[in-house]
Amino acid sequence: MHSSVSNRQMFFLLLLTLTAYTVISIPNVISQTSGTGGWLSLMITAFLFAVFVVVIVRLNSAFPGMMLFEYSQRIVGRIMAYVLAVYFILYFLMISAYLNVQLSAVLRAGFYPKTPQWAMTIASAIVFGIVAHRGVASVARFFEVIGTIFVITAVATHFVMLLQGDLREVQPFFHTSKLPEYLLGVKDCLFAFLGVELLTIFPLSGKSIGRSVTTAFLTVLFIGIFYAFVVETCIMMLGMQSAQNYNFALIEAVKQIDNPVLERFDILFLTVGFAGLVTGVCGVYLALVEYAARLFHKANRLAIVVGTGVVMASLSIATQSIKPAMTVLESVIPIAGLVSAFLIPTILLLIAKVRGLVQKPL
Amino acid sequence: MFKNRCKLIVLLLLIIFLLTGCWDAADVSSLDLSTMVILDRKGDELSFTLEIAKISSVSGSGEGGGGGGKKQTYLTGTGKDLAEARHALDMQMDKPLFLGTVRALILTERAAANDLAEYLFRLRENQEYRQKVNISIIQDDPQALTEAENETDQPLGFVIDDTIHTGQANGHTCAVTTEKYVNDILAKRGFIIQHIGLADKQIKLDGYSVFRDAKLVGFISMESSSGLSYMLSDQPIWVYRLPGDGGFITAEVKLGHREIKPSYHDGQVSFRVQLTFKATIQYKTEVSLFPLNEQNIQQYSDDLNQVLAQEVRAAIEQSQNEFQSDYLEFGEAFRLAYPDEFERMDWSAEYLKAIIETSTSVDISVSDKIDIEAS
Amino acid sequence: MIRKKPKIETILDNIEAEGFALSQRSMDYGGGSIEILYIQQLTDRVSLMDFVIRPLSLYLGQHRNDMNGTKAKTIAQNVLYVDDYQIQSDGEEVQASILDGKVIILLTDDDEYIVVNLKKVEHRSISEPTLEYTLRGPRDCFVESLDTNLSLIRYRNKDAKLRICQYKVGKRTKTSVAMFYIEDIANDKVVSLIKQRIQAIDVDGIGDSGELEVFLQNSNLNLFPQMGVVERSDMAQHLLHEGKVLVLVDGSGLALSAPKCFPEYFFSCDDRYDNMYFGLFMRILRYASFFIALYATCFYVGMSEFHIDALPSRYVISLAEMRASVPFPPIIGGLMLEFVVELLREALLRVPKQIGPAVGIVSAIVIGQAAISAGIFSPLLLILASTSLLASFVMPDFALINPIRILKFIAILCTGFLGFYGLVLFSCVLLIHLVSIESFGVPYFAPFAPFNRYDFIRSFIFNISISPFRPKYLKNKDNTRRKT
Repeated sequence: MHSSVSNRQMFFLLLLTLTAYTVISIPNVISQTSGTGGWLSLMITAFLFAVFVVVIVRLNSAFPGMMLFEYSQRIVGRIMAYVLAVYFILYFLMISAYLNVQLSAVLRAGFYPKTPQWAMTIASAIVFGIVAHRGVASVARFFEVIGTIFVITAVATHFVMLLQGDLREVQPFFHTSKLPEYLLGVKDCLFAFLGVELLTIFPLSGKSIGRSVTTAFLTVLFIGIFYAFVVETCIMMLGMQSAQNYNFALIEAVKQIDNPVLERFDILFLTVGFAGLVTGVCGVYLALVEYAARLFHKANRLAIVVGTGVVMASLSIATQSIKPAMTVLESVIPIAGLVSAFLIPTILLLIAKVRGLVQKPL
Repeated sequence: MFKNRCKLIVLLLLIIFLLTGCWDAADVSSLDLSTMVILDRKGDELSFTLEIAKISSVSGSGEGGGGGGKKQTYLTGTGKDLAEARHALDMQMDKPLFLGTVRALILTERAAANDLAEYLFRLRENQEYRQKVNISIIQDDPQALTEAENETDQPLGFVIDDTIHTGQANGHTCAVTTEKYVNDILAKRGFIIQHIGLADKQIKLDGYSVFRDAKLVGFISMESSSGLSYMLSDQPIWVYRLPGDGGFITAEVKLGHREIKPSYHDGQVSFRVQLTFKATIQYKTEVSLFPLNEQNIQQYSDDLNQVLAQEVRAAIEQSQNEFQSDYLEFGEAFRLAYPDEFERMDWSAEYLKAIIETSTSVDISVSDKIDIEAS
Repeated sequence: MIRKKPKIETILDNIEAEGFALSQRSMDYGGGSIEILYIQQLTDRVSLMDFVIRPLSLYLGQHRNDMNGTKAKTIAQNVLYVDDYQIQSDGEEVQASILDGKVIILLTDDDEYIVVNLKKVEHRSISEPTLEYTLRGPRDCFVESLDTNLSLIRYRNKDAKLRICQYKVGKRTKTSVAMFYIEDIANDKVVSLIKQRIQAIDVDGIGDSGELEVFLQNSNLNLFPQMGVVERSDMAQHLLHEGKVLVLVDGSGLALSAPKCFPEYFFSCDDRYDNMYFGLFMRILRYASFFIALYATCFYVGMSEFHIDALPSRYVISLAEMRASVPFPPIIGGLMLEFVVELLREALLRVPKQIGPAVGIVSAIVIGQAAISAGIFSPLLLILASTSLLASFVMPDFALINPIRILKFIAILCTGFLGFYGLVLFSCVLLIHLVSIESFGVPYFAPFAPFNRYDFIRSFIFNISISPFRPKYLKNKDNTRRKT
């Protein structure tokens, strides 16, 4: 089986990983920080991360068929590569535990109030493990299928919200005096775009590097537009004040949709939306498994999947029980994310260029 | 290796089944399905009255149980606060309560006076309620409401919900969902809630209750609510009977376009409200009466315009002077045009001083269906 | 290696010692004899009489005195009226040839012998297909005789590049297996992989193409089949032209095709012969049927147990009334009813034809109606289970029905434990499984994943006049059907 991903698969990988959980809570965050001009904060952040992702794709394309662990050995040597692998393992472990906890919290709050969070955490973790065990190429195809369904359903749903919502709630779209607020809001949007570093485990084929870079850049911009669309339509449906009050504003907004079939339209979100969410978390868990598999290359893959799954599930359950743990994670993850998404790939690319390992694309 | 793998898979599956344990599973037939909730206050006590649908089996005896008798029962729980009242209800229930089928939330005027905000926040937290449920106010006792009749013998909650939806479809009401009220309370805006009453034991929409700062401050009857609906509804439709030479003509009026232009000069808030209407003359009282020509039609247009302008003016004055509550959403229009100024000012006070000018125009035509002037 | 050339006597002694019943016709000519060995049940005795024994008798009558030193070659070329013959010299192959239904002619003065193919095995004649029934299109289908099947394929394919590789599989049965492909279209890797796997089979015997399939697939633990089953000769022709490899087994009326991808299970011959818009409609219907067959009962379980508030309020009350007298939770009811449906399905498959329709009516109406009256199942559940059953028969390739029948139960269990989220988790596991398996090097979920626009469109809309290329995911040598 070929282990490189196509540009199309890269698009869906980025889309589902970035929007995994954040899409549910971002209307709440944006309405509190940037208000009606939140779309601008999102687009600025999208542009920044589009640049970061270009760096990652450029690196991947320069070493076709390899992931970061492999080509970083060539760039910075074996020891540093192992240090980076350990760092990424810890980083993805944190992210997957955090996402797992949040996924369970959303399910509990919206749909299954009596089911214990630990039960949902374990059930989800088992599925993540089954998916991650299949490897990079299969997961990329998996993203392709779920991503297509997710995008079509999400765009259609939000379009309906655009028609049914109150446009006045998101106006004025831009006000000069609030520009400092919009710029400050970028800080709160960072979390929404963490996940681009997932590309470090997906090798590219190396053919048409320019196209891959363009695809990655436009994908992140598209995700910014998608977020803006989601945020604005949610606020239109709920109202600015209500959006600020709901942690999971997207689900509450979807519940408001008037339709002749379902009383609770968020059932559609429970199926299609959560399929996208689960897929996104699967991608993060796959990254954890891939780095662990490279680090412990002599171990059986199944053993690694089960081992990391147990650790991840335990960490998720512990995080749910220990209250300060969530706060710590929420403060550490953005910084670690910036390091993973920007700092490390940029340094690696610079060193690779200086050492002549990266040629100019044709 | 293969055997170990199989064992692992089986073990995993077992873990799933054992751990998940269907905590949230609840067979629909093992629940008490509530279709209406009434909140009332008497003195220091709050009471919940629930309408529970009676479930009769359809198996064995073909179509459901025949015979007469109501298809719903009513339970009341009383307490010092909402939680206690609910607890009192729970003590009477033989099955767990299911609120997902509630179609109507009713508050008596006594309860709405002070308890609306708390109740709406409670609603927001409870995932079981439909988020689009309609809320209404009644003047009567819950007891009187529970004795209301309806021709289809449905649960009353459905009847009330259907009545409100029919009113919306006919263009006579401007009811909105619970979420909008929550948003208005959080934004400290005034709002109106549909008021229902009983006429010969039949449910009817009899007007609106007006709220300021989430407190009940007044009532607008349905008969005098046309101006209000022109300001708030998307597609209001009213019918007018105008005097002509020796008779009357009847015209249906629809709102064509509504525009509210705010302005702010020297600390003075002012608005210019422009409303255009489309009126269709439907019929006259006498066929042979006065021919409809350009001159007459212009006269009727002017008469109608005058009536409409008067109604709109009255609605605005009522909101500014009588109720002192901006339920006509002028604040929103001002916020869109002057967001910074809006943030700095106390809108509830500024609104009372705002100068609001109205201008209306009517485009009158004759119905396409009937040739009124046929010889 | 120089083969030993045993005398005719040694051969006859060996055969007699084995003790298997065969017929022997001796024709003496003074200095020796001609021995004709055959198994009656496997030989066309009329042809044997007319084209072998009669001319031999005539020849002996004329040349009785100068038969000494007559060679097998001379007899075969000048005396026998047969076209399909071989001259062999390996005495150890005589037994195998006789068991294969051939006629062996031994001569005293020659260590070589003649092997004549007058094989005639009782088999059913070409009939209408039972698995791939279609309204329009040819109705001839494969039968158990490999020769007949070969003739059907040859009749439809007059391509000089059509290659037929024949093998004998099974130590005891020595079943003939023929592999077909078009040399300048088919992917060489697929061809060599299948050849390798056929040649590597080490087993007592193969009875049917289903048993051969087990040896050819990538993985036998897989619920989903990775090879197609072909009953019709026109379908076989289409598949060969797509670049597929066909495998026919002597004694089996179903051929195997490889590679086979998941979306191809929704293709039917009707789609090629009918209007393409109708074909599009039918394919969409089939995809919808797949989901209905798999998820209908899960939908009921999820809605009535976990997500009641998603249903319209009036219907919730009706549903509650329907379920008022049902003692079992929806998950138990769903599992029980699906089990009854599977019992019904199996029973109708094996019930004698004379009472089949009556049994069907009794079980469908009586059991269904009685179950509702007794309050065991809710009417809605019965409707959904029946719809699911009907939907499973919409799929043209029966091989996909079996995985659905099993997965349905797992899906109901998952839904019963965690509602629609449980169903989402199940679907994710199912999907990752489908995208990760391969059929002879071709991704199983192609062209959906990895996505290919041309193939994706063709998997819904197909018309030979607007499809100049073969499926690109098969990576054939020649991808062009016609010049654009």
